[in-house]
Amino acid sequence: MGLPAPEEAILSRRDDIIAGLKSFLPKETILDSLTSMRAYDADGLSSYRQVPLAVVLPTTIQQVASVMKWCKDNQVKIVPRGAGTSLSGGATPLADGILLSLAKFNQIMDIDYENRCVVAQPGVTNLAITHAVEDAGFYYAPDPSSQIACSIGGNIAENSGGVHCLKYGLTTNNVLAVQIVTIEGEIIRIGGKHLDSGSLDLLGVLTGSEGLLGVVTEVTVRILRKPSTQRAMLVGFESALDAGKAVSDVISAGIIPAGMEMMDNPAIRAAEDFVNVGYPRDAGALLIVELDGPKVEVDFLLQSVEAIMQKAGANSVRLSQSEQERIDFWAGRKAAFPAVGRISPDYLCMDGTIPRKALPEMLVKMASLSQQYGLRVANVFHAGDGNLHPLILFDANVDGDLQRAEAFGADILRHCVKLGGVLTGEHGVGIEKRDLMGEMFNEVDLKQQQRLKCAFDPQHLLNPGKVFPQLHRCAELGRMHVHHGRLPHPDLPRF
Amino acid sequence: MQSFYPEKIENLQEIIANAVADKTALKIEGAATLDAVGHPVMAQYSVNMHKCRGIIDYDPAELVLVVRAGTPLIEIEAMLASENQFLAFEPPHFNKLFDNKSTSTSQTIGGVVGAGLAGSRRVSAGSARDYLLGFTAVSGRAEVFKSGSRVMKNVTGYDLSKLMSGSFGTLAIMDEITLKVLPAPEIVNSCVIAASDLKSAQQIISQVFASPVEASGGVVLPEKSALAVSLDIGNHAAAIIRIEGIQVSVTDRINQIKSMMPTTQEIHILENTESRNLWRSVCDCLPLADAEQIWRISVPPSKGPALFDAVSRSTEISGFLDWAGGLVWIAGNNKELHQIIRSQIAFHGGGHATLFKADISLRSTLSVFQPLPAALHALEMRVRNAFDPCQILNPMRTQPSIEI
Repeated sequence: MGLPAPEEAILSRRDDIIAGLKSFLPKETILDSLTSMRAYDADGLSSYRQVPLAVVLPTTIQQVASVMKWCKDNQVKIVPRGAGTSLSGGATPLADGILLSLAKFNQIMDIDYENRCVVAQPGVTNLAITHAVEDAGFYYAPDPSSQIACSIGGNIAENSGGVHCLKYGLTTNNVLAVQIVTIEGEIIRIGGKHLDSGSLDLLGVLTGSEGLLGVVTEVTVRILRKPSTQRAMLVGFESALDAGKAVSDVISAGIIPAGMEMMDNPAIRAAEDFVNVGYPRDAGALLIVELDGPKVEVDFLLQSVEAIMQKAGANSVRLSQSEQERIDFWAGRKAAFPAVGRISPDYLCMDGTIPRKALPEMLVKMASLSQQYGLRVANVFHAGDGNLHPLILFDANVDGDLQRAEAFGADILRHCVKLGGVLTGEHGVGIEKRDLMGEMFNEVDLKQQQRLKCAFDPQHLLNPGKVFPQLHRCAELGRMHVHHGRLPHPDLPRF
Repeated sequence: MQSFYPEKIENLQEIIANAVADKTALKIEGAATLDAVGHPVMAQYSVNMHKCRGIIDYDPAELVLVVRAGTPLIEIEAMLASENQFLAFEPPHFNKLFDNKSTSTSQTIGGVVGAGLAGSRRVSAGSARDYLLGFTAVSGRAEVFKSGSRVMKNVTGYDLSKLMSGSFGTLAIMDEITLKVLPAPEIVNSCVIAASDLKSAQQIISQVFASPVEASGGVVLPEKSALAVSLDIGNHAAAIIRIEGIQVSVTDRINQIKSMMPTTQEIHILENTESRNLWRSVCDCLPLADAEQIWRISVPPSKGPALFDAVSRSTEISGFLDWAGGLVWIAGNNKELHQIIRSQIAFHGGGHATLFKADISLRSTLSVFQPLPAALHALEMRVRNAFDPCQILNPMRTQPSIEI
């Protein structure tokens, strides 16, 4: 893991580059002193810090377009940044690139209840969209744990998820349109308040492209009417294996809860000690199951789910009896990361996904890796969709501990892929998982993805060093290697 | 036209490699049901995917299905039904609309996903794009590549599934397709509410979709289209709202809809089979089954009625509105219909119109797909070039034109 070595030629031009930017941007949109840039030297993957060449904070779309075009003409790299909450280093700056912050684009442009959508600038936080429409009974469904801080533009870049993805999907399933600025400085609108594209689904591929294809300057998302009833169930199990079986039983019974979360014993204890909401401290695993919809439906399904849980060997079952109690049930889960932060000086949060049925095998492997590396691990898990968040506990002040934690994490992700899963379910590849991409994709797969990159940014100026372990020149990727006459099946006719 | 019938992905790769080497175009087909959608493809050879078929893996508890592209849709639907599951995007069956005599078999899943289709549930559950978790394909560079996975939460690398869905086989030929499946609803009922015009019918639907009732479909049928599916509504238009799920919930939610309407408003309830049949007909566009020229138009839902009315003031049309008003189907005979529709889309705040069914001469002369602004067009051409640089696969079929 690490950032590409900076280009000396760019670093030595730093003064000229800043002067160049200042020639067409208002003074207050550029930060270039070391002190002012410190605040931007890392995102949520805070073990990696780098002060950028300069920080640019444009206030108009035209300024964004001018910055992009100027950087392209002058071969200067750009790292886009929303709120800087990426857990994979998506917004980790480059020493030889500018950091382009969209933080000043913080306005909601249009709320359209008739068509059930909101148009927002990219720096608006995820939660602010819900806040803007909740008085009318609406909300924006994707709810990453960082929703109070993370920006909607960043959500597009990372295709952010949350605890309610099982029923309501990720960002990609809830976005209608974006306006992007390309590296050429062109302003392009993709989508609208209508559904689908009349042509290729470029919106779908921009979502989750981690800032490598374009800079998002406006977003249109769908909003949903709040369900009339939401109730949660807290279920304690002897072991994570029993809990995992119960999760499969619920889905096999044809029930798709709004959310279905699991925590293992170390995570339960940490959370309970932190928020004190009555989690069963001795349980081997805890499930939080939330159902939403009309009251009669929720009540009916809760009975079915409770019966399934009892049959699967639940030790304790509690149903939320009030809205406050439902929020309390979630409080420990939502605070799981900071809670773990209290019991360990540092932790690494991993993000693999596995087929749900592979959970027992994964847990056994994790326990053995924990022993092998001599590091503790606490698990929170979006159990409904198989998305694991092992939290590896370490102490950055102990020599080699960070490297051991990273190696442990990489082994977990390799095992996820081996079990038929993936490297990242919702946090993105960034720099964190970049070097593991070869575990999941072969060279041909990766080259095809990079050809898409070349269609948007042929000189690799947008967020280089992220996602791809090795960057190929676009000219090389475009070349065709076809050999006449090499026909293993001569029975097939030639043209 | 000579056809190839590959059985393995290696055959497929070889066929494309030879086509690239000889600079020969290939027409890609499953059951060829949608053969008449898009610009005519000029190719000497076709690749028929029928032998690339079969279920590779189906695990109901994981909600994941892996199939080969040539597998018939009806076979997949029957298998899912036996486990009380379904394809939530409700793929339309367009055999009847196109009355495709050359095919007695069902559409293939590759065709359904490749065309990016979805039925009335698009508005509540999403489209084929939202359920395609991953795929293996051969690109127009004759390279076998994969994207996505078999799990339902994945952001590893670019989401190429989105590009494949709706690309009509112009980027790559998919072989293995992984789809998310969901539990099928137990009860499917509908409320039929008569209205004096399209706008008020759409507003009823809009009101229900803005409530916590969780409708899974909303269609506005003008009287003529209603009669075409044997529904006598006794007024100029009807709003039909689908409510599905478990019995207690369906009953409760239909009562909620009743309580939203004025007490004088009559609400007719269609139960299970009757209701399911109606939605099948709507999804499959059967109200327009006899039409020669059909347009499929996506606009903001609130703009659907105004667009339909504006077009009908210019020329005689029939049609209906699905997706809570956002999907407008229009049939007519006017040779200038494309201009009337596209200028009305621009006037009503944007969207896109596809000439979905027409004879070959019209499809050869008109822009079948919505013309794109120049910068977006250039970007899209570069994306196409990244997958099929020699334009071997279904050349010109979905070629967009530039907006003037």
